[in-house]
Amino acid sequence: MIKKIIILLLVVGVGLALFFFLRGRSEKEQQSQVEMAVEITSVKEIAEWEFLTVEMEEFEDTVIPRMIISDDQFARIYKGTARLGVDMKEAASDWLITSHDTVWIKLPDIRILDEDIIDDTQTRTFYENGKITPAIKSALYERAKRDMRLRALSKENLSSASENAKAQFTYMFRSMGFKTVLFE
Amino acid sequence: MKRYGWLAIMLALLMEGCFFSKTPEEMGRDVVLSVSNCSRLYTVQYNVHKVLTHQDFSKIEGSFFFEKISIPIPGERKVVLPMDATVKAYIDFADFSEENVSIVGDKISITLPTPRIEMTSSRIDYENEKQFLSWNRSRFSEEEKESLLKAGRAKVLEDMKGTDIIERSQLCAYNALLPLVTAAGFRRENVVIRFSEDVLGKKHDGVLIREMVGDDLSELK
Repeated sequence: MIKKIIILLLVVGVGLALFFFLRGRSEKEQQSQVEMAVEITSVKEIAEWEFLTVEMEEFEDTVIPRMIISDDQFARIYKGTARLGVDMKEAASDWLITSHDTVWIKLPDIRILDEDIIDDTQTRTFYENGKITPAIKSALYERAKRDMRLRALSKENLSSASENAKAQFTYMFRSMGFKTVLFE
Repeated sequence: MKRYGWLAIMLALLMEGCFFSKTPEEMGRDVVLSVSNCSRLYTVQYNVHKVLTHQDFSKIEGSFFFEKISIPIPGERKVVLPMDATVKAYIDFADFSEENVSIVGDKISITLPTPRIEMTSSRIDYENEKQFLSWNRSRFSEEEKESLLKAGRAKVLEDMKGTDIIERSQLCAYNALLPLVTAAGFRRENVVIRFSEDVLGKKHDGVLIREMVGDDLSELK
């Protein structure tokens, strides 16, 4: 009986000590990073003219049914930029013909210049419940990329990029002394 | 009594399911943030790989009889996140005008702004993500990883400044523009492309960074 009372008193004492000791306590996390260098995997010379920038956000979600308790759910917001323009490496050999003060230009088709348009470092997780595997994240990324590309390649955007391309090339060649700039 | 308990749990689960199943559908699914005209010549593309690492440990801070104290909690956690990114350098032609072109006789000089760099895409390799946790530490949440990724993005761009991307971009810009200028009737050796910092909008009075002349082909190799 006495032992029990002593133990009880000890527990109460420790509890009180902790109460005073940890008054206004806050748990803080100290952070540090082990720096690793950037590895350049490839370098490529390109000649891509961008004429229209479309910045987008895409909301993607998925639900994985579970037999017990609630379903797994995952929702993410992806951020991406579609750069519409022309790749001069696709231009025909006779894309530029000049005669006196006139220039004829045949530009390649307008397209999205980048294969990947999502900046995954800016992806935000909107909701996360349950076990989310890398395969699910990968599938959502691909779906967001597909949806963004479709949306960026609207008739209005393609037309706007094409008009701007003509305006910019006209301006550039007039700066070099040409009076007439024609497009095919 | 037990029956009511089970009933309450079932009801709570049902309500939770109903509530969350509606949320994503009610969201505006996609947003176009901006559409803007521009004129940029991308000249070089770097594909890079970086392993982002982060570690932290906890401590308890409090006061003991008005004295501030701090006790580290044993145990740490670490996360390793590999990422692949594409960084491109470009010349911005937004402010390009007749002021940037100087023609004297059969010689032409074009002044361009210094190339800029941009991360055009990135992808996190979640397949190879690793977390190392002490028994008393929780896993990194997605939110915690997001702040690590943002810092990693800034670090990649910072590290790229230490590479030859700007110099290479200038050479590639020269390669891309030379066919245009020679097609316009100027001889290769009479073409000068200058790169300068714009000072008070006076393109040709800017601080000269680099000058490339048509017959100087050694730099292009």
